[in-house]
Amino acid sequence: MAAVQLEFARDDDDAKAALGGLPKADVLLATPDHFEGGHEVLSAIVTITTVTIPVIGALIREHIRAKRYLKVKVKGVEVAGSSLDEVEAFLAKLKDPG
Amino acid sequence: MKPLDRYLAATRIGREDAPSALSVLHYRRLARLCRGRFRGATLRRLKVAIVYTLNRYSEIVALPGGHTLIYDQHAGQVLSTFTRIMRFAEDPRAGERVFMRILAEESLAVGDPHGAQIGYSFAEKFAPYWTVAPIASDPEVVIEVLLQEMFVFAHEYCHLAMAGDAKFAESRRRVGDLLTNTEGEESRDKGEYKAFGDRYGDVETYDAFVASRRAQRARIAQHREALLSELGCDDFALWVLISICGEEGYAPKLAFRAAFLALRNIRTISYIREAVSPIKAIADVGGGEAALLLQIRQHRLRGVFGVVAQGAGLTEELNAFWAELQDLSDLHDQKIDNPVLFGTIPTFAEARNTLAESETNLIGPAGAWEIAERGGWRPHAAKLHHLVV
Repeated sequence: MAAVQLEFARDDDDAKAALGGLPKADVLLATPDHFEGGHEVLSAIVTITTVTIPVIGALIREHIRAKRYLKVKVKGVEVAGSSLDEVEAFLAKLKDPG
Repeated sequence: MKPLDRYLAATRIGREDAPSALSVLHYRRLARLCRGRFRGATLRRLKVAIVYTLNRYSEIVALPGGHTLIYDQHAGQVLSTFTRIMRFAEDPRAGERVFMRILAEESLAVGDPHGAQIGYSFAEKFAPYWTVAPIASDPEVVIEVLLQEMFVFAHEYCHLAMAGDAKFAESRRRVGDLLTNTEGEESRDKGEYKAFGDRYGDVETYDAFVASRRAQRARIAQHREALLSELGCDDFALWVLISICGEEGYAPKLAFRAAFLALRNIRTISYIREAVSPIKAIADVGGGEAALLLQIRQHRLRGVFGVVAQGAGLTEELNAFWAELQDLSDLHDQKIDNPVLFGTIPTFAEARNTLAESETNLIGPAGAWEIAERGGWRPHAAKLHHLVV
């Protein structure tokens, strides 16, 4: 099944809480440490389902509003969107590529 | 799916074929050499997964079940290829094929199909100039590349040990603290300016030189917390290399050369990464720091080479080497950094922006994946090939 990677700051309790409310099978939480250094982040691999899409959308909306660190990636490729609609549409397409 | 499989499949784009079985032998040896250096520190059980991906980065990741060092051969290849260009390339255009290909692949990694098209197109154009001798043509260069990979491995193992052993972590942070302490360094500016002028002539005024040094020290202060662990682990990795050179009978200067080059080469990759079309993250309040931090790490580690050599009892053996080190730095500038920063990247950026303005049918990650597939990558694969050593 398609999955999205959400990268956020390690002390971002809101992101952790939001993802903690999802079915456990849909979220894999990882703590990466890159050789190049950089931000201390957590990486959540979230399976894209009808349940997870709105939660991801709400997380993105809140982080844009608060200007907090959040990256959305698919297979390591960043998903960019100046508007929330673009990201949600992209996620929906990943779930149902047909 | 196991956590590691799931993590790899979601975060990277691999190829059709798996890393070779020979890789297992090579990296198993590197891992064993690393593990043997940790005496007195609690080393968590660490898995090492070898991958070859478009994304080209290595990391230690904590997943349910334990830590894994994900080492990307594609990143290791850069160390080898850049060293090859630096040591053997005669035509100034020789490296362009490689630099442009990396720009293409990094463009794919940020979902920019226009950058990918331009990068691959230029790489093909410069292919006829790629007449560079293989690494194997000089045994010392083979060791120099091996030790660079070893440096990256050892650095990551150090982070892992820090995560599992508070005393070890504290000792490494203390080393990092020493390496980032700039107190009293202003008094050296005059002498260093003279040495700079003796070597390079009248290219910079004293005021400009001092201003630049002052700005560097301010940046170190600003990023000090992030640098403590990184420099602590860079120092550790250097000691690992010195110890390996001692055991294997390699000239000790190779350890210092490799530590220097590993950070310089990875810094060049950071320059390229920062140059690709910046598709903005959803909410990105910080970025572009990687090259800056690598530059600081490389300068600060180099700054203590003499002290480390003294501690290892190598002062006499390395007397002549310190002047060679500046030659090496100049060579890297001449063959790698200057061509990339002042030639490849501006050429790429101009062509990429022109294309993006005129062609709008390839947008975002979907467009990037289409190009990635033509390049032999498999973005739609459900599983990423990897070997665990």
